Amino acid sequence: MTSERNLRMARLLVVALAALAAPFVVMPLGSQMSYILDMSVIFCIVAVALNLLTGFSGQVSLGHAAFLMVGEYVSSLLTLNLNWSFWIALPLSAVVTGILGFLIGLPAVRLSGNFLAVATMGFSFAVPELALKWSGLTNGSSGLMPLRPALGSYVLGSDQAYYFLILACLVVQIIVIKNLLKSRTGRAFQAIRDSEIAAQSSGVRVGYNKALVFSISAGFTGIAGSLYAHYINFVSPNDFTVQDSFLFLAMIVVGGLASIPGSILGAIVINTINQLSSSFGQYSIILVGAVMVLAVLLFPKGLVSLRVPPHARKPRHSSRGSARVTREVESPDVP
Amino acid sequence: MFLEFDEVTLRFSGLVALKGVSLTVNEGGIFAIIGPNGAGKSTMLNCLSRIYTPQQGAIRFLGENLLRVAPDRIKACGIGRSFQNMELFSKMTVEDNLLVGYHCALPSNPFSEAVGWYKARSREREARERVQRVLESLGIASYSRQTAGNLPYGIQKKVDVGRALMGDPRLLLLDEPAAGLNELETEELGHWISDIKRAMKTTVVMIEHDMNLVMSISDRIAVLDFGELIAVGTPVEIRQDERVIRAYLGQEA
Repeated sequence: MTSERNLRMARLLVVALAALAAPFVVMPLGSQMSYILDMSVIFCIVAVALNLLTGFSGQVSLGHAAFLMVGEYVSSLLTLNLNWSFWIALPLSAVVTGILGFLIGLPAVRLSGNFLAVATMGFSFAVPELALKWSGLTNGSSGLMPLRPALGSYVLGSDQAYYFLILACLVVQIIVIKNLLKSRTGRAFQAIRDSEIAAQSSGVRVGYNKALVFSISAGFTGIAGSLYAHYINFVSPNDFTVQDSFLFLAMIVVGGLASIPGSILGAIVINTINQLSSSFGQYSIILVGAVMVLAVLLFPKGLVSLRVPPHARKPRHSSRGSARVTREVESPDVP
Repeated sequence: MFLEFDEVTLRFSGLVALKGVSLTVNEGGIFAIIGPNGAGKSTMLNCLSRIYTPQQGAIRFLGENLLRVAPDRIKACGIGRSFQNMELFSKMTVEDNLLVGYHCALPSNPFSEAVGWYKARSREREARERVQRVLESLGIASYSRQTAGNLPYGIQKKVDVGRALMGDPRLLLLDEPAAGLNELETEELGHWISDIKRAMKTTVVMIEHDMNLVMSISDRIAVLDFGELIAVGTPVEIRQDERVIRAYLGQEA
């Protein structure tokens, strides 16, 4: 028990130090690396949000590119048109995207698997179109130009300063999701993934919880959208397409489904490769595809399976468990 | 009246799964439903847990018509059930499986849970203590932290029942609890089903094919054949019933 806790604490410490040092480590490598780092952490937020929905609750979504765009536009419009502070626009973009996610999640109650993927994919096609055509509000293809946020008089102008804002959002998100997963609501999400019928018979309102997890996942993705908009300072209808939705799905599959560290690993790896290879132009997607195939073949449980599993340190329980299992495996041969 | 099936008829596009089944179950005791495969036994349980909705008739539990209750409120009405294929939450721990079984008795809201509000955590602790008590009574407390899907079959069966027992149901539905168990395990199962009945004062309705188990622990038995109720009675009466012998038990029984 104590050794397991020590291992966990040590790992947390290493990750925390790495996260704090990262912007200063990559700074000498040039502005492109700082950009890749910031974008990676934004995608970490998306990947953790998507993994809550897909990995923990078993619902596939190809609509997350659209949720990102909704977050972008909500935050940009609130700060530009209404002159609201970024610090109000950020949480509001989560609220608006979350409500939209709930509405999108309602039909999801009746769909699952491939059908749900196709239905949400439609959303990813529709939102960029809508942003383009509703030019009175969105300024069409000319886009919007939201500004970097400021803390008092200090503008988060540098990539390093902005990095810590994104990191803070990611940390809050992880704490909230970890709390949820350990509680009644999070258990209901996972129960629905494993057996809808047993969840229902145990008193879980399946439809409500499916829509709720959709809403929470969309809300966090909206935050990522807001962060992206004020980072790039330009928002246009072709920022995120359905291809990005597939990329997000690849992040969590490559990193590890139903794993928060896995989502983060996957987001960093896929985004870094995607950005670094963008100089190869059209061949970039081939490289990304090759990495995905290799990762899935070599680590079917995701990159996260590479780490030291804390449960491997419990010899008493695991040996008893395996002894029972072998007996069970042998028993069919006996009669 | 504890539990009553009143002229329940269920059709699946032409196939009549239940033909006007009327049946009463009294509180306390073990009530077994037996019959050949496809007789409609599981269908009866599935009507009770509102997975299927009969076209005609009513199912009353403590005076309330269950057909007007949403499927996810059945557990809160005091009816827990196990499944033939267990339907465990296989990627969750045993403890979490049982905690889901306690879902409706845990009042909470997502917001206080998300921020780790103290009250939410203290309720949580109390729920975990309840889980430990149920796991201990089933003799599987040592598996509490293990992933349910990785456990041996016999243990998984107990986890399924443990989940149904959370929240102290007044009625426990068991769908073929002995299926896949060996003779020794079946005997043990019989003991703890009797224990559940005695210690927790829970009424048990079970579907079972193992006649030794059914005859030894049941207080009353109903026999279904092609969706029709052909007999209800004590084990002794059922063993001697002409129609039952012809339909199900066979000559030597």
